[in-house]
Amino acid sequence: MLISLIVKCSRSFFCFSFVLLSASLFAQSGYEYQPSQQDESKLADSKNKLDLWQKEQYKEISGKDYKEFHKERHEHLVNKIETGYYIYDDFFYVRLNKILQKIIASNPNYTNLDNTEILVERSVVPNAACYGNGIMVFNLGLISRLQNDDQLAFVISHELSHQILNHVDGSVKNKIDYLDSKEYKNKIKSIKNLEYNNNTVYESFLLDLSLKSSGRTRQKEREADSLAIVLLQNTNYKLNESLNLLAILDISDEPKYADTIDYKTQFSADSYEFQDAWLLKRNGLAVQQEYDQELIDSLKTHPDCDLRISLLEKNFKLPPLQKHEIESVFKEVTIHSDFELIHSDLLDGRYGRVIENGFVLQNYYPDNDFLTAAIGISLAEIYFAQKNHSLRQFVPLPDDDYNMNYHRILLMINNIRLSDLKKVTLAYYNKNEGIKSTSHDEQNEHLAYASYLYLKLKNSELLEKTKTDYLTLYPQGFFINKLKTNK
Amino acid sequence: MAILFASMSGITAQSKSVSSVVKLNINNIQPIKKGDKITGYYVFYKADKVKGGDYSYKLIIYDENVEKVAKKRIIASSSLLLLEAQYNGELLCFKLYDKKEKKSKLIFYNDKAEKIYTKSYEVSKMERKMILMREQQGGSSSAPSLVPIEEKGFLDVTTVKNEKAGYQIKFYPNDKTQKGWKYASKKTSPLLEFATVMEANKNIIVCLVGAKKKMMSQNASYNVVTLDANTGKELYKIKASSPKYEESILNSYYDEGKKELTLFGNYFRKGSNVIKDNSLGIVITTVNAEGKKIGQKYNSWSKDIAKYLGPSKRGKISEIGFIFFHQFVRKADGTFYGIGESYRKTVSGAATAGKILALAAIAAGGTGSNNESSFQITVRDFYIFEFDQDKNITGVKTIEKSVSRVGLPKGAGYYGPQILAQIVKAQGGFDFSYLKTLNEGKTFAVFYQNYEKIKGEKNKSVCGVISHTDGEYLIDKIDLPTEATFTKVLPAQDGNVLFMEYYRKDKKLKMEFKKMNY
Ligand SMILES: [Zn+2]
Repeated sequence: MLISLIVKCSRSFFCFSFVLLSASLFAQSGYEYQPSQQDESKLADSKNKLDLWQKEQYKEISGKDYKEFHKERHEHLVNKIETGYYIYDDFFYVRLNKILQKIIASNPNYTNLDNTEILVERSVVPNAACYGNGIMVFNLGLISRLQNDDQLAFVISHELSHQILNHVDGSVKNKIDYLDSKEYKNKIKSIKNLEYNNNTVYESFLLDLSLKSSGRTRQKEREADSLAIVLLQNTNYKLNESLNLLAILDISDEPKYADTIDYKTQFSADSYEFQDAWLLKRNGLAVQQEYDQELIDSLKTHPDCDLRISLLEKNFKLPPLQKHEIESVFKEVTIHSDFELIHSDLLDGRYGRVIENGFVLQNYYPDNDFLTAAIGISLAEIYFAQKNHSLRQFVPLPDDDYNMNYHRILLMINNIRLSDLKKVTLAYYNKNEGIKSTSHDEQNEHLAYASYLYLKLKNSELLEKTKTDYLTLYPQGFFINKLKTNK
Repeated sequence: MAILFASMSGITAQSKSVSSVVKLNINNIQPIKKGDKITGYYVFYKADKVKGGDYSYKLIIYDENVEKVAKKRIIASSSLLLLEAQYNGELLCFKLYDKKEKKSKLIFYNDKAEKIYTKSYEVSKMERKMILMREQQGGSSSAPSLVPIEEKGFLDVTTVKNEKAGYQIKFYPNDKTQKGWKYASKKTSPLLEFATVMEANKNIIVCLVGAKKKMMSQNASYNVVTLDANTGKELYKIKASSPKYEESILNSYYDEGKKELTLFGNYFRKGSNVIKDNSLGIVITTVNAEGKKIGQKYNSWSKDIAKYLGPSKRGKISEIGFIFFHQFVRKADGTFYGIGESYRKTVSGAATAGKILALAAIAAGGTGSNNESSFQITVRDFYIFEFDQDKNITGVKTIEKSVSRVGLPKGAGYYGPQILAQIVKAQGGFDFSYLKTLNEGKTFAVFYQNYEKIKGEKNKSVCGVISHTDGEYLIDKIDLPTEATFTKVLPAQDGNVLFMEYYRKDKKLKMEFKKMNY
């Protein structure tokens, strides 16, 4: 509130002194974002733990397919660890694993949990997952939605319950056993021998299998919810925050912030005329998606939250749900995760998302150098990608199913001509002189990379020198790979 | 908090892959059009044998982003072809042909992908021949026979049996309680008559109607017939000739505001043959709402056009050979552009591909045997003819590209330039793919595909776009991936194209949109 008030006032002369007075206050309510730094020793420990687990378990198991599953899971995780999908920092990683250890320590009856670990994934999807081998993953996108440690604890306890109940390995093993069974083989044989409609019958058999399996999956979710509460009963985390958590999940497919971005205002400049047609959608096939059982499960990230809430209320006699604000001690967690998500999107090349969320956060943190740099970098990267026809590797086509802010920036990127995109990008840099500056310190790597891209856009002869400077200043920099592959 | 295992990979790659492509063949993915716009795609394949000797087919409908919208089951004989799909903003229409039953079938779906109604009818012998020819070419190089009319209905253009062959244009309204209409050639006509729809909107239908004595006759006359879209009644008819010249018609533009029709064509010396002989130039005719010619502009090759062809070609139009006009387009500012590709008959050296020759022979009315002619057609550069709002020629832009050669069936060497062009077109011998206006009509973009020959390098196949905005031309190209077993480029929404790559080894079909620069 205070921030927006100051912005409004700063336009009138009368308020000028007030702005000066509150400058220090302003800096405090702003947010000095520094990206989470990877702690290489934590990463190495985590990898070792995983390798050890794999080595020990692998000896115990039998069956070619089951062994294959173990191997694939291990490779998948190692690969993601090595390519930087997970954050091993002092902020998220430490906080979440502390909660995990607290829950484990309070429940000494459950053994074999020494090697469990939470990894924080740079994903915007509001979700968490259990891999079955002690690794549980918590997405940044879920962290940024939560309000307190109690909710974090419920999610962690829920994933830990999947591990305790052997849900993952158990269901994989069941599936493999079923595919190996006489029952299944006879069924397939009988379908093959049908005189008519083989493929149709086969398809509906597969659909039936997947429905049964998703039914079992939902049952397992309820079991994990229950055990999660049982585990938390031995801690001092607030149990009824589980209900708030489920209510948050229920609406998690909606964007976190309701602000509407006016791209025309954001991109307006004297050097060119913003064309309203850039934001126009040309009509495609206006045919509604047919009701399709195969699709139903994928429509919502978290189906039947209502049912899960009422089951917990009933089984554990929890006090009814009471909505409230983010706890003040938790605020830094959500703010940092909002920024870290933008940084993650930038690293993974989801440039449309960076522009969308960058502008949204600018409503709360105006004049934030990181946000300005992130938007500038994204505009420039989109320009270069479009120039060499790799745009669609980074930016999808517009789609009404996305939220409005994202849909509209995708429309603009799809509709705009390359030469106009260059004008928009240059104008954005000109409006934000800070991201053009070529002198930097260790603290503002994003600004340094933004200014490098600016020189590249301008075809400047200083480009090579800036590149060398960057590599010297940030030998472990986030954008080193991008810089090296950039021609 | 689902148990995610095969979780999402890094980048939000907009490439999709369909891994179970057992029945998927790169050719059974086709676009659903709405005139020159791409509104979606469909996949069509034979799924099962059903009781009574029939088969079930699957029709999967996708939107313009290749998101699945609906899945349909169709029962028919063992050989059902899906010929075309069009969308008119309200209904989707699929045109199918049952080879065994010798029947065509139109299926109409509404905006909930529900079947509204179907129409079946017998197909004439001539039409069957043409359908089979198209099937063998595996594409749709000929003019569409299904034409959408925005929010109103569809036209189905077919060849029917009269005294000789004739045409029939049938209108199917979106609202099935309303009556359709039919416009057809006279049953007793002693001539062979054929029709193409050049324009169709909610008020007017503009057709090009040709007539000749025999199939391979090199003498034809052309008329433009306009119909009231509500009743199918003839509004006016225009003969393509003038007291001074013989004329042909290639394309049209209808100005809905002024209700004026602009016709583009070639003109010829009086008494000459518009199919066989060389034209004198390009004629642009303006017709008012009453069907009266209110203006004709003649642009001659030798004088008006030659002066724009640059010093090397000035006055030597014969060096270019002939120009085949694919399309004329009007930009938002009222200027017109004619998109042409040059071709000429040359003596062939080595033998060319047999399959193409056989097809060309069928196209020319032959038997399809491998009779090679000693002539071939060499296709060369793009020529874009620029006209101002008053239809005066103001420039010609030449866009050079690699030469491609097309073999000719035996005897075809003696055909006139217009028929030769039709043979080349039917074989997909031209590089032009399609044309689009973008950027609110301020840009037009010609999409093409060809082989680039670069000295000392392997030939590469490219997909390119030539665009024109604010008086400037821009050329953009992408190399087609070479590691794939098959590659195909389909048109897509706005400035995008859809790359499809099939990898035989992994049985994987990869689809990726690419936005072209324009
Ligand atoms: Zn779960």
